[in-house]
Amino acid sequence: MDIGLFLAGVISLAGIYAISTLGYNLQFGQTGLVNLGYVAYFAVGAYTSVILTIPHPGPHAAYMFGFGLPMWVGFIGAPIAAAIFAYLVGLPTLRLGIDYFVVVTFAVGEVLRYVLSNEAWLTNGLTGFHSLAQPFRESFGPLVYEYFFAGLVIIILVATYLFVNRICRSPFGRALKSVRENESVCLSLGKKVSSYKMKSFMIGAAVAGLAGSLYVRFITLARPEIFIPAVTFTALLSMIIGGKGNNKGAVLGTFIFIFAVELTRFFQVSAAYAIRISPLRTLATGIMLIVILRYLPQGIIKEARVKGEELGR
Amino acid sequence: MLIDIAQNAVYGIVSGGILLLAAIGFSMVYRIEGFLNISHAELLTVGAYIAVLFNVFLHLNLVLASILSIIITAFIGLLIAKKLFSPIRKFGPLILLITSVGVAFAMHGITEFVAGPNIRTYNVKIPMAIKIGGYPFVSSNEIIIIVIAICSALFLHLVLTRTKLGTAFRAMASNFDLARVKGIDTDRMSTYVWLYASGMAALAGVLLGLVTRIDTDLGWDQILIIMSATILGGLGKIYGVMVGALVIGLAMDLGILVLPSSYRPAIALGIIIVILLVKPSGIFGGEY
Repeated sequence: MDIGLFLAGVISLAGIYAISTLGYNLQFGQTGLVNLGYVAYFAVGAYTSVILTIPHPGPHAAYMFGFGLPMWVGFIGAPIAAAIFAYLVGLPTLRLGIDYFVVVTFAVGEVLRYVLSNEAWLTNGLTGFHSLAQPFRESFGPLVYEYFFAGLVIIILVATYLFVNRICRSPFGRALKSVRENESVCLSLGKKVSSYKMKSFMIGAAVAGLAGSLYVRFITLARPEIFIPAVTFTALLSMIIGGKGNNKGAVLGTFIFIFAVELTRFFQVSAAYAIRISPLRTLATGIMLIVILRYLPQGIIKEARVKGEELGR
Repeated sequence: MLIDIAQNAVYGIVSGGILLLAAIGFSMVYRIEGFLNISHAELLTVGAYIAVLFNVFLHLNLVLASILSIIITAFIGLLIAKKLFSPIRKFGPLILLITSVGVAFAMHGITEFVAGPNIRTYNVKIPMAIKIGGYPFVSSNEIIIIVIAICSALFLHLVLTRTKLGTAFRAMASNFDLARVKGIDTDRMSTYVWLYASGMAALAGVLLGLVTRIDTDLGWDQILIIMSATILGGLGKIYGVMVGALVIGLAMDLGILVLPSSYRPAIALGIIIVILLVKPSGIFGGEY
């Protein structure tokens, strides 16, 4: 295996997941919205970007839509669709208590996958979409393109990081933290808690949608079986590793996690053992989550206290 | 058409009965420990596979295998609770919840590693079908499952209302601190709850394996509907959950008469979303 190509691939993957973790961190780390169905917004973004850009299907295709729009429309449409979906989910759920919120969001993630599998007129069912076009594919040779894609992902990651960081440092971001720390106090100060929650939920979902639209371009596939809870848990675990409520930590945590997972692919084993390796990876993921929460609950990078915040304590 | 409805109603009661066994434990743990234990569903898988071990590989009959599986799984559940959950109780329910996700992953990994990808079935006689008007209406297995579910619900009801243990549980459930101050051994009570919850999860797993197939996703596929039944009955309310489980079971199996059958779990979600919008405290008032 060519080490350069391998690295380009892993960096692309880690970069995409890092974007997803940034959005998750805004919802969970910053605002305290424990969304266990984050994958739903990732999936909505992915499918939106695909359906907007694929050519119109012929009369024999199982699906009806395909708008053949340019790629960039897909990348813009994805976060918008994910945010709209988040708005619809958020309306009934954001006012619920935390345990109810956990259950319902988790269920939304699961049920969306059933919808993607069944509503073939929109999603082409279990077959999904394959051989998807990639941005600027024609301008590069097949090998060079991997490096270009990694670079593109990094640029979008940096932009997302700056955007999310800007939000977190703004008065709006501090208000989100106050919602997380104590909702009643926040409400008593005359802040619109429900509106803050909704905005945070929608922005986080939009970031997930962006990550999803990049992900399907990376693997050139969009099928329901990709959008399993593991996507949510990757963001969750990465955030826990890096440190909750901390954007640098979110990115760092994702890179550590993805590199750790991908490096295990270097252990060359026979096919008989390969079946047994994948459960071990699941086991390791679980143990990592348990151990970090127990011994390093703050993560690698502690959440920075904003200047002046100590005064109040 | 009528026979279809009756047939699916029977399936629904069977699904509901199994769900009841799984959801009561989940709900009791929530009530006493205060967090949603996502890893509860993996105990179904573990229980089902331990029974496979005794039944298929060691050639015991299924009843004996299930009893052994219930006991072993109960202690596995207790061990996990005491070693992984108790030490971090001080961090609060959110950390416990996320840890339980980690525990679910770890358990899934171990079961998959040990059990392998093969789909298993129990070594039992093909169940007799009781026919009504020429149609196979209900099988002996299904009757057994319904009886087991009713018996365990009755058993729990008697324990809760007639014994000191039950009184202690109800006291803890309504006010943990007050119960402790009054001299109830809360640690011992929580041990009993974990044992009972995990054992019942194993039983649910075995029964589920009896009517469907046994693979490593057996438990994970149930977590969503376990949580739905729990919410429908009102989080942590034991009697509410019993009814909630039956309602969800029936709704899923009757619902697939009109909806595509792959939407079966989605029906459970549809119900809880409506319930949460209309009456977030669950369909039943009261404390238990």
